[in-house]
Amino acid sequence: MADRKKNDRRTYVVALLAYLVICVLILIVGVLDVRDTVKNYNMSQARLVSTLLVENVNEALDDVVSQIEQVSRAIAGGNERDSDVIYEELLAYRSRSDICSIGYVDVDMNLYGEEGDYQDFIKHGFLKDMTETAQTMVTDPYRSKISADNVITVFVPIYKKGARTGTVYANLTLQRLQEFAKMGNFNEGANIYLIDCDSLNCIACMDSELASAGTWNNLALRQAGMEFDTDHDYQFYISKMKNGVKGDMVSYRINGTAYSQGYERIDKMQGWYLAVELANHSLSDSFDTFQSKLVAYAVMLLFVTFVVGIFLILVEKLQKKNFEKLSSTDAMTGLYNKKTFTSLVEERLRDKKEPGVLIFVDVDNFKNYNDSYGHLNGDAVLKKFARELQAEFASRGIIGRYGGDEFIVYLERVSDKGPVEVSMQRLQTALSSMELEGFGTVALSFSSGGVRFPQDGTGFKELCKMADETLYRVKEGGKGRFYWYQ
Amino acid sequence: MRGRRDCFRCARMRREVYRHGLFMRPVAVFWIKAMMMKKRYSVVIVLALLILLSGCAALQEQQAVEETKFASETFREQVDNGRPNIYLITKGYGSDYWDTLRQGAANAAEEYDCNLYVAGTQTESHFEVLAELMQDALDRGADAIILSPADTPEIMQMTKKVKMADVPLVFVDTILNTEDFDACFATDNMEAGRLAARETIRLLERMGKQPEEAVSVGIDIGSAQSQTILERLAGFQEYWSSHTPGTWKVVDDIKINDGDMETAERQCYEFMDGCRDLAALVGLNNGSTVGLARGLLKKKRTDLVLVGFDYSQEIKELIEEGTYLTASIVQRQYDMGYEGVFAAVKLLGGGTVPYRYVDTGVQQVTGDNVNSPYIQEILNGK
Repeated sequence: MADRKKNDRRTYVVALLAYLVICVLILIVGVLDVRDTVKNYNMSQARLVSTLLVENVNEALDDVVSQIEQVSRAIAGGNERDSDVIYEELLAYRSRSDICSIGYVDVDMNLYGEEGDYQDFIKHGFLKDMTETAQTMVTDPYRSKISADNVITVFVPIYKKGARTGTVYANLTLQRLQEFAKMGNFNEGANIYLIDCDSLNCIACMDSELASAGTWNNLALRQAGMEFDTDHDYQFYISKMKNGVKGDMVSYRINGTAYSQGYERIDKMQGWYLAVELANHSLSDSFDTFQSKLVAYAVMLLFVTFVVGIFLILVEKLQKKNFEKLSSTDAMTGLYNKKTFTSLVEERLRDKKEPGVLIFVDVDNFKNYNDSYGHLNGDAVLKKFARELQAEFASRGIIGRYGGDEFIVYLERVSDKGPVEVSMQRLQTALSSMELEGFGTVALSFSSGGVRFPQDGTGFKELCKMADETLYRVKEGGKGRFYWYQ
Repeated sequence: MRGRRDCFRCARMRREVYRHGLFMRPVAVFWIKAMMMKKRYSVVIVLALLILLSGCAALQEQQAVEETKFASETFREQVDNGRPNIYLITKGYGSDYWDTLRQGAANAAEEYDCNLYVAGTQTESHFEVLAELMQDALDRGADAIILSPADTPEIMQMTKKVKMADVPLVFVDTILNTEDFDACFATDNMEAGRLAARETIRLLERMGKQPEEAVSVGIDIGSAQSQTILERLAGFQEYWSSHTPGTWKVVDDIKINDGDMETAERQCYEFMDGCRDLAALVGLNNGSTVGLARGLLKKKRTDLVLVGFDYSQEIKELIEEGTYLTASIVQRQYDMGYEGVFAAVKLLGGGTVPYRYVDTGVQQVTGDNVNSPYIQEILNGK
């Protein structure tokens, strides 16, 4: 029975642990899944922001270029004019546009514009590139001699009757380009870069650090401070850019802060991309709060279910205990029934560690009590016997009702006969008389036979048989006594 | 970018700890050994060590105080002789480069009849002191300020303050991305980087490297925050990517030496040991170039191209030796100083400068041209 209880307890513990482990696993998987979702959300947001910003930049560039092309078409469509006149018309146009510098280059490479522009074009080889390009050309960013700003130059060729007659150029500051890219609060905390996919050079359009806007860098160097989940991600990201893929996204950490970056191709600037870098916390703060709350509630739920589980187990255990008690005891006397007694004593005898004494007790002439005083009084006699037996032996052994008017006692860790005999004498005295309802005091007695383990026998059946024989001997000898097995 | 800047500061701190760590390490080893010896000896040794340590700590403290004390120069007393007072503040001093720049400014001040007051900080990283010197110049009543700025928010704020005080401000050596200055005389560092790449390719071709051959180039830089260096790097990468075959590559791991020549030398050996196809090394500032040059000289690696910046003793030795394929990109710092003062005088006289940004130009120095009078003139700061 103790083994069964131990097994039951182990089953409960294992079941509880399994439940906890499963819940924690589900929680971990859930958190990882949410994190993954948040990460994807951050990346897609960075990509979305970069897409929107690039759309702005593309539109603004398109606008500037189309305006210059319009001016160029007007020049081409009008009457023959001197280059000086064309330049005057261009200057008038400049005053109502976003461009910072404008001019005209004729077919003989004479420049009508600011001297500083001419020197810049010569220095960077733009005049040569311009003549080799039949269509509109946008240069890489460079520092203007006149304004000291980082600028880009748009060259638009003019054709008249199929022949090139000159080129209009206009300078646009990178800062202006940055202003085009601005979109409400979208840019807050964002680092925006123009990236040249050939050299992987990048120039900061807008940076969270004041001093860094307009500075050049190279992705190889920037990459050194980034930590990636896998190297492949970033290399793949870069290779996509180099292969002309319109846009992509990647995520990484810099000094422990997670960032997402998305890039988009700038249509008007050959080989240039606009990348937006956003700190994830600026995107997913609400997600993080949501995730934290979710985890907190899940933990609370886990705790509550754990407590409820423990409560249910305890209730079940209590019920089981009551049930076991009901099925293992004699309903009238509250002593162990024969089956339970047998099981408990057999368990102890199996151990063969401690000596013991088995005693059969039989109420003398019990049939007479039933017949003379009624069954209720008969039951009262049996209950009295049970009480006295418990009073005498409960702390030292196991007591059971063997059937009818027979009781059985097994005393543990007892080998001497003396104390047992004293107990039996005391019991005989205690059970010498009792008050019966309606009949006053009546005399009682019992016969009993004891047998010792392991001296007299080792098996339960063998011991019972010996005790029964001894009891028979007592009854034969006149009842009301206690004999040892001989 | 903030992260990178933090990294830079951490690296400096680490370097400090490492420096002190080197000093403490033998002491620690000795301590452990002492503890392992007999008790009575160990007590004597421990006492002796304690005395030694307290002495060293006091010495270090004194050195630190002296270092702080001499972290910057101060201006000489202003004189009232009716001539314009022009203040020149540089983010470095005590080297050929800054001496030459100051000499150019001094010559211009003498020529255009004005008083020149010069001060500076030891390095670019002392930007707080640089800002204090700007404030000091304003407090003394400077008529114009010529500044080699550090690219930090503190200096940006001070430039705004100078312009609000209506004092002409001219940048030399370095440009900042701000509206608050009147003129700038500096090297176009993108162009300088392109020239460095062009020289690297030229020397590799002279070495006999073929387009189909695998070639790797290692780049070493002094800082990942200096706009000057970053622009040189961008210029180098731009020219390299558009003028070399796909088999010629820049090693992805661009090494940063944090302005320490010994680190640069160590990184030179790392490139040599860790890169199989290494054919060239490029130092994008003076300190990096010195470190790489020392590495090449010590290992006698005449099979490697070296392209660097400025004309240090080490690069001079390599170029003049003749067996090394070396080139150095030198700046026109004399012109920066001279033109800076000239522009300040012009602005003070109510005039304007034609261009806000003037590229003072760069020149490659190689074994082929080092002895030409033109190059000698540049190298001698004229």
